[in-house]
Amino acid sequence: MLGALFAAMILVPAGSYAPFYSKSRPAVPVAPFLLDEFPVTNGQFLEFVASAPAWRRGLVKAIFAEPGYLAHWEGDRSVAGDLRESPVTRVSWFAARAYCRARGARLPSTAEWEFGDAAGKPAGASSRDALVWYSTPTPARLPAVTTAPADALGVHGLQGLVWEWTSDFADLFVGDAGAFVCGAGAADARDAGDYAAFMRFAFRGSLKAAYTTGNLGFRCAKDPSP
Amino acid sequence: MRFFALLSASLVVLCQPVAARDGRSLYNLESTWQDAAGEKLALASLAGAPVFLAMFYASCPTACPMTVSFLRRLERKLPAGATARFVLVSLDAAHDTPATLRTFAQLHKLPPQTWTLLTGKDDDARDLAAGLGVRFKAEEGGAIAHTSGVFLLDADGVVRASMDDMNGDPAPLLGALGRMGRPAK
Repeated sequence: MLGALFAAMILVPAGSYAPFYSKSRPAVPVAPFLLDEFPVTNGQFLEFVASAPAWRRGLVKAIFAEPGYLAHWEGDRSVAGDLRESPVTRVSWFAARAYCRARGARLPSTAEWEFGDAAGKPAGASSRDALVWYSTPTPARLPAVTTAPADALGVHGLQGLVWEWTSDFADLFVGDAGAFVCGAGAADARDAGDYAAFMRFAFRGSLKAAYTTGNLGFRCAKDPSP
Repeated sequence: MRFFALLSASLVVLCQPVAARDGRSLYNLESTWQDAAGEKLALASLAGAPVFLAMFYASCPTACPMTVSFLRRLERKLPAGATARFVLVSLDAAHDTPATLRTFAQLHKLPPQTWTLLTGKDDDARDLAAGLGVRFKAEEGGAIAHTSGVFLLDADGVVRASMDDMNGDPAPLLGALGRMGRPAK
């Protein structure tokens, strides 16, 4: 079982995540962590539900996943062959987290995800590149994860395949962080041109933990062994 | 009584085994908590009676006292003979110990016969918040920003109604409680 769920992970070095929405707020330190090289695929998730019946399409509790959960699969335990290598989508936060836990891992925090994404950006890359993808409709059939190019750290597909769950997606848009994003609050933004970051922030803010969306997948993270 | 309610719900609505809990129930969350007396309990032990539930934290300066007074208003307006528990669940796993909950309950005069205050691990609070759609974030200086709301759970732990205006009239929640009491058609 361990073999099936095995995934190569990339070490993301220590750094910090400066919340894009405010110049006046301090950067959040990010400790070194391991991040999956690729998003989790349908094939990997299929292996997971084989050993975790509670997460099969027909058995999952409604509180943990909406009715659209894994709706693109052929059956509770079968996925069309040409979708096996594609990123799994239509998975809830609860399901994504259960998968990572089964691997002895966890979901990355938003700070980790954002820092990992920024740290892997090739020099000179623009946040506008992400916008090209964001403005492209999700294809009916998502491509294999291996088609996504590696970034400077060797992580594939943080941009360009699917949106990804983070452990603390529900943190956002409460308290003063919300105020920074709404209306005139955006005047304080660190990089008002980083519209891609605004979009990710707004997208995560619109999610609920049981949502199962066709363009939302995940990958796992882990603390490096001491 | 409860057995038969579950039985008919299972057969008619879910076509699942007799003992199955409704899939939408919050009591499917596998979390363990401590109450103000320090007793360990699972959320599922609240099953059997309707519950008015809110998330809070003891050192909360503004929003939580408003939530508590909303719940107390609600309690005073309960129709005679109605049974409901009032449950406050802490978002502040790091600071809210059973002793803190006890002090809070005494300060706000919350009788233990009808009120249950719970604290647990951060992960458990996050799970429950996720199940309810409550958003929260620890801010600098110990405050926890969070969305407010009172949720009405039926005897099986399914959210049947909620309100987020803590200055408002609790009538909609009382109405929902009344409708729950009637036998299903």
